[in-house]
Amino acid sequence: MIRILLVEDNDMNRDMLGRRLRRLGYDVDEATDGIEALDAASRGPDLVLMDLSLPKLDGWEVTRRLKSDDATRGIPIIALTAHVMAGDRERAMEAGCDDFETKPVQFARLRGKIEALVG
Amino acid sequence: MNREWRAWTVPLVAGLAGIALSVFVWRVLENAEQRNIESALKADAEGVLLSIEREFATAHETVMALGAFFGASKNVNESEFRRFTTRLLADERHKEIEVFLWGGVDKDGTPQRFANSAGSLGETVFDATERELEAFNKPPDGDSLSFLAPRDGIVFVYGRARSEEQRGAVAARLNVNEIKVTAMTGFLRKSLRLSLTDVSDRNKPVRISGSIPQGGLPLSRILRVAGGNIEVQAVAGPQYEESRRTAGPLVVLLAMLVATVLIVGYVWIAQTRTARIARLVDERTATIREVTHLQQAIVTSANYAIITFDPLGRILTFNPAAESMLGHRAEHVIGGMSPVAFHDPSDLAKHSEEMGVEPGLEAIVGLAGHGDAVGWTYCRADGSTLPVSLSVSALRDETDQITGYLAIVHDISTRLAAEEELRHAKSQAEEASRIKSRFLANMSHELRTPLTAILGYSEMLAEDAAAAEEAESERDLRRIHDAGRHLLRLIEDVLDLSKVEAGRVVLEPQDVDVPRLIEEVATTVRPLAESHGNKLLVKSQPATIVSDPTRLLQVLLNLVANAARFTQNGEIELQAECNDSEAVFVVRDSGIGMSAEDLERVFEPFVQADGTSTREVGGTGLGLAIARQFTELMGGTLTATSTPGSGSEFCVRIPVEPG
Repeated sequence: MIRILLVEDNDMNRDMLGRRLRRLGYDVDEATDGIEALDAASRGPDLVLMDLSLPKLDGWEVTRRLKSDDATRGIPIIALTAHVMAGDRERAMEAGCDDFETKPVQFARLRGKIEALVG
Repeated sequence: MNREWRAWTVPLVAGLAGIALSVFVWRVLENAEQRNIESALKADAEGVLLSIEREFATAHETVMALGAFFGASKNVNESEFRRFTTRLLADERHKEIEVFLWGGVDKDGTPQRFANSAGSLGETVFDATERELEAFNKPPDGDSLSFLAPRDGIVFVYGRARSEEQRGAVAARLNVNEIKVTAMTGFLRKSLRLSLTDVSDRNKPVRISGSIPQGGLPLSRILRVAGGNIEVQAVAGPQYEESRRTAGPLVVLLAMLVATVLIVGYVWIAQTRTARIARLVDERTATIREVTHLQQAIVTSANYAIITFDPLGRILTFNPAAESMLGHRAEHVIGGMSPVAFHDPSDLAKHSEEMGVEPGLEAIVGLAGHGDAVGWTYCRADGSTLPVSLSVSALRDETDQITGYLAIVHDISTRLAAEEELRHAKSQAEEASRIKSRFLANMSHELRTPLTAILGYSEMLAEDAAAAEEAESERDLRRIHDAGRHLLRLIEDVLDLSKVEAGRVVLEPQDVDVPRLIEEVATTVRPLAESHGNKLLVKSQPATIVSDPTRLLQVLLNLVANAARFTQNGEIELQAECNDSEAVFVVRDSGIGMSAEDLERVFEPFVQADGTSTREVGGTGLGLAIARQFTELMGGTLTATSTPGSGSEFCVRIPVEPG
């Protein structure tokens, strides 16, 4: 079973996204801030869905750290963010994200991107 | 004017004076010559008269000699007379004697007459007057000589001889013309006219020879000839004066006239030249005065403070603008102050240090030739300071020596304040723009976060309701989901519009395949069009243009989606045509159409042709506003035409390459 680490500080969205991912058959681990995200990532998920605006340590920094650590470098990261202004996608990709998806989430499209990275 | 007058009067006066002097000198010389001629004539006439007197004397002696000879003769016969007189007549000295006569009585008392002449006068000489005959036939007693001046100008001289047996007289007729010719030897013929008159009887003068012309210079003398008086007059004829007259006075006159002409010419030229030079000087002087006046006016009326000073720092000029700027009076400043006094001491010290010179005049003149120096501080008479721009130039004379300096000072406090205000306004505007951008970004982010939950949960619940076959719940949940999606589109459109208006949209032009673009539009909009029972028709020709595909797609999607929403069970056409310069996209529908009034407002945000239809037809009301903004950003135009009730047509024209 594919293990997804869902990093999201908004409780409602974390709950909603977690439940819908589980319904699609994924094993979902959850983190609410950057520090938790680093901790959870050390347990070796198959893919990370990364919110970028996070307390304690933002998503860009977490992504940079994961991608600079040999143990976690191989884990694909999809940025999942409500930052949709010009340049936001580029900033996410620069930090090391493998793909980029905007909120509100179009579920069918997100599933396609997940499958493309870990399927 | 006076000068012009003088230019011709001076030569005129000089000319008249020259002519007058010439004539005067000529007259003086003429008079002198006339006197010369007169005295020469007098001398000549004396000579001629003496010569005539001598002729008469010679004739007298000859007749006397002849008389003596006959007086000594016993008898006189004709042959003897002829022999004797012929010899006399042949003598060159007696040319004046024309004929010799003898008249007498022989011892028988028979009168005897005979004559001998050089010519052929013969006996005709005896055709004399009564008086002559009487004198001849009755010779006077005693030894005497007398003469007769007969009317034809011949002078008779009688001689008388007396002997025992014989009484008689000898006579000689003189050729007066010959006497005149002899006397006139050495003179031009007719240059002297001679006349001889017998004035023995004062009351009855008898003209012997010649006539006296009127005028001329008469000179007369009365000669005593054999008891009678003959007046001889000599008058100079025209030829005499001509022969004596010299060209001298005339030459002098001509020479003086020529000299006058030359002098007048020279004076005239000189006067003209002087007048011209004077006029030139006048003109130049006027020009200089004007220029000086103008320069003075410029200095006086300039809005900039103008200060000049000599190399020692003594102020020479201090214009009114300088007075009002610095609060000093020109009369106190000129000659009495140095421009250093106008500088704020600490400011001058600072600048001097930067320039590496002693604080003072050296720093000020060091600015010469460096244009406007900004950042200097001046000090007014009341001690207050003002920021100035200071332009210093060296003033040089013809030999390039510096004679002083010109400082032009401008109070730039207003300018600095305006610049400061402008800087402040600009930074405020930039700050406002930054705040707006950040606000938009935050807005977007904060709105999307709850929407994510709304859309996610409603979709999930709708799926649950569908699985549980709760149709009513599923429909309601789908409505929540649709409303959420509408809200999301609204947010996206508002953001797009704000970004265009903030100038934050950057186009990314690239090759665009037109038919593929049209197909993409059709594929996206077809479900919406068909949901309203419409047929979507597309038409395009193969073409590639350079444009921003994302924005162009957005424009066309907006237009076609708009057409689909406002048309029920009709046709929607999307057509693309390209030429060398522009690409034209036309979206035509058979929908409800718009009035002319609505057409004008339809591109404004949140306006739909019929305010009530927004909810029925969907859309955000921003589609056309955004489409027009993007079209114009691409250098194109978006226009609409419509007939209410029978459809609308939207036309996008963009250049095939960005301009």
